[in-house]
Amino acid sequence: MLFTSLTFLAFFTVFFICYWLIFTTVRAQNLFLLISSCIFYGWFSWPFLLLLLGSSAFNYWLGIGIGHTKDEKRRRLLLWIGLFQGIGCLFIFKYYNFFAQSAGATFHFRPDAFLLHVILPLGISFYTFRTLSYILDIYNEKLAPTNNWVSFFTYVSFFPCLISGPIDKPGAFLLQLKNARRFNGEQAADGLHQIIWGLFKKLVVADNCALLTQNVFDHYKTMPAGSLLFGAFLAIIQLYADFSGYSDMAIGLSKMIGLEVTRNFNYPFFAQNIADYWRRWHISLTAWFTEYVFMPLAGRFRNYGKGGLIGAIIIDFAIIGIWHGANFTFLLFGLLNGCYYIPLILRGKLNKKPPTSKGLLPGFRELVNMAGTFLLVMLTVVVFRADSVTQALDYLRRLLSPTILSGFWISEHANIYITLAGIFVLFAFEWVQRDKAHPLQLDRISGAPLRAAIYYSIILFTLLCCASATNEFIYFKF
Amino acid sequence: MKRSVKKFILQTGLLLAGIVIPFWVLFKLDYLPVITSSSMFDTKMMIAQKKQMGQIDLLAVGSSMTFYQLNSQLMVNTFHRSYYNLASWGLQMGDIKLLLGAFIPQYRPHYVIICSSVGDFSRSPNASYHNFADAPLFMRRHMPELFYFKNFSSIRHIIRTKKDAYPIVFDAWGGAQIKVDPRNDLHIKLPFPTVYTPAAYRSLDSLAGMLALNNIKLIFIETPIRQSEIDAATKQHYQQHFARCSDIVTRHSGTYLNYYNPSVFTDSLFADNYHLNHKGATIFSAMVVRGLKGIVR
Repeated sequence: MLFTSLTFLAFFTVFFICYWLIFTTVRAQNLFLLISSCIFYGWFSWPFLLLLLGSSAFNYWLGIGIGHTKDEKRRRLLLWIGLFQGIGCLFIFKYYNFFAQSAGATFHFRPDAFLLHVILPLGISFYTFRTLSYILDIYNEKLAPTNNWVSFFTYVSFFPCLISGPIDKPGAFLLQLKNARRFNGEQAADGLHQIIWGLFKKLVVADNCALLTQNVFDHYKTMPAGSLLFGAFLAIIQLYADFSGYSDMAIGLSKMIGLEVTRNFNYPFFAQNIADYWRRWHISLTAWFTEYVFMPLAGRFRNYGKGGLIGAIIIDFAIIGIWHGANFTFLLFGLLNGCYYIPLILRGKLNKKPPTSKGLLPGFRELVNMAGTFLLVMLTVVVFRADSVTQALDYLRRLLSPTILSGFWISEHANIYITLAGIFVLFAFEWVQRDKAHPLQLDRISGAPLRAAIYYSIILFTLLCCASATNEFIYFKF
Repeated sequence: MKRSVKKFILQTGLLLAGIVIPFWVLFKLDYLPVITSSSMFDTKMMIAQKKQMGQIDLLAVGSSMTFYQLNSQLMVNTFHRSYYNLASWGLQMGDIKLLLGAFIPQYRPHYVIICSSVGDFSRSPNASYHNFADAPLFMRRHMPELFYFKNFSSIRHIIRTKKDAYPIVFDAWGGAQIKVDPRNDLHIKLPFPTVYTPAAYRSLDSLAGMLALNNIKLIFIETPIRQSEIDAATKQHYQQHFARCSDIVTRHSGTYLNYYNPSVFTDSLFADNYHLNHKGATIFSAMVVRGLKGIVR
């Protein structure tokens, strides 16, 4: 049940009406939200719904166990059991076959007999991180365990964010589930506008880019460097529009339900350096890793000065990379991003936020910084997008050749102008509205007809120019 | 609170109406939704939907072999039963099996007629037919406008598809006289067998089993092939193919008829290597009708 499907529209319409008009008490709302989330997930796969519920039940019990015992050894044991269960599930479903195949290749044996014939449960990386942060927060005494299983199960399986995040911290989310939601028309309308923007990003920008990038990556060996540069440019735009489009829809849907969830993107292409970029890209995941991986590592390595900090960041990014999937390309993607931090750390500028203009046009320095950061990230996306490290390196080698400025050609012409127009609209709206949570927050415009005209123009543009084939969201496979 | 919820629902409804209206206009102007990658199939399904047909006794399905080569008027005049031709260009055996799964509950036929040639066993099935076959029956039968939103084709794509579509005049029963599309590749010899052929046999087997299970008689008809295309090796492949199809069809209590007869269907009766011209199709239909007289009661 994709957010872009007619089935989801029907599902959400029924849900919305029942949620606000029939279920008005906190208990009824939470229970209905949980049942709806189960239907939503069960629509993809009923057997994996059992895994989700089983994992939730196990962590709910662990949370109570950790929270209610004073014995440190027992608390630690329960935490390790929780970590083992969460990471173990991820390992089995996501990484086991990769490690078996890699071991087979390294030690020259056929791994077929050791391979597991399992498919990756949808959203497992996201909901596992929710359960992990719950037990870690209880262990670190940042959160008291909830005694309300409905609330906890709803937190883990909340359908707008279940498949691809954002990964909410349990504290803020569970707090919202304590009281009955009161309908707020402005919040719901804002959510609807954010969904419209998300649909535009996904259907016009990401799906049109997908047709072109697929073409370039399939035929990169026969294309000039200019085309490969263009392909890499489209690949990063596609990734951003696809994933942030999904996040916008998830956040918008949550607002319509009366719940605020974590922001996941903050206009990352306007970042001034790589640290700034990662503070704006997939914010909920980066924040998760910063809190539970980077901070403990940095604390442990603090005696090693800048070297320790570099080590902590590189390990953190290596894990972020491998979180995306079982492939060396993701590991390399993470390592490259980690290495990009080294100059910032050495120059002591890691946490310094470069000044940015508030005006309509960026300053020259700001523009150069943005372009530089964009280029660096674009190169890592080639690695992210490639099927193998060999292909990624080959692509980059061909890209960085003298023919880079010789122009470009690609065989798929049909959508190129539409795609570029979509990208232009995307950048223009995001730049002008960069101080807003999403570009369709048009509160600066006082006239309601003009606001309505802008919303409808975006809708019409989407109807006119969406791609002929809609693709599954990229982050579904993570 | 309920008032504000209702107000929001009303406003959202108005917004959705603003989305629905352009598509409603397109539908009225015959710019039909793009359901599959075959504009001909999509057009045909919309025509069939507009006719609001109920039960159909004799249902012809298949590729262009069925579409062009069964003379609708002759079928109707001979058998005096409800008849419709739902065949479409380029359908492979896997596609036919998939679509029959959607047609059977909708039309509840007593007989399914498939005219076929080796070309129906030589390519991979087209996944886009799932867009139609997997849609709810209610949508296919009563609200085909929903396909605009189910498949999310842009207005630009809908207009372009209509503009690029090859014009075909259907008769009242979904058939048509052949007018070979110059863009088709059937002037060349199709490779056969291919890597997709074994899967196509499995599809035929499954299709025949499905029809038998539903007490529907399958009538499988081999169509002629231009003789000048056939060398000794090819002929052997074709004979093996006929034997295989015959075996599958008869195993599931279907009727297998073979009109691959070079002495009757001389090269002058062909429009291309696999399609009969109008004169050839008339002769073919007459032979089929004679062949079916004892079978269709």
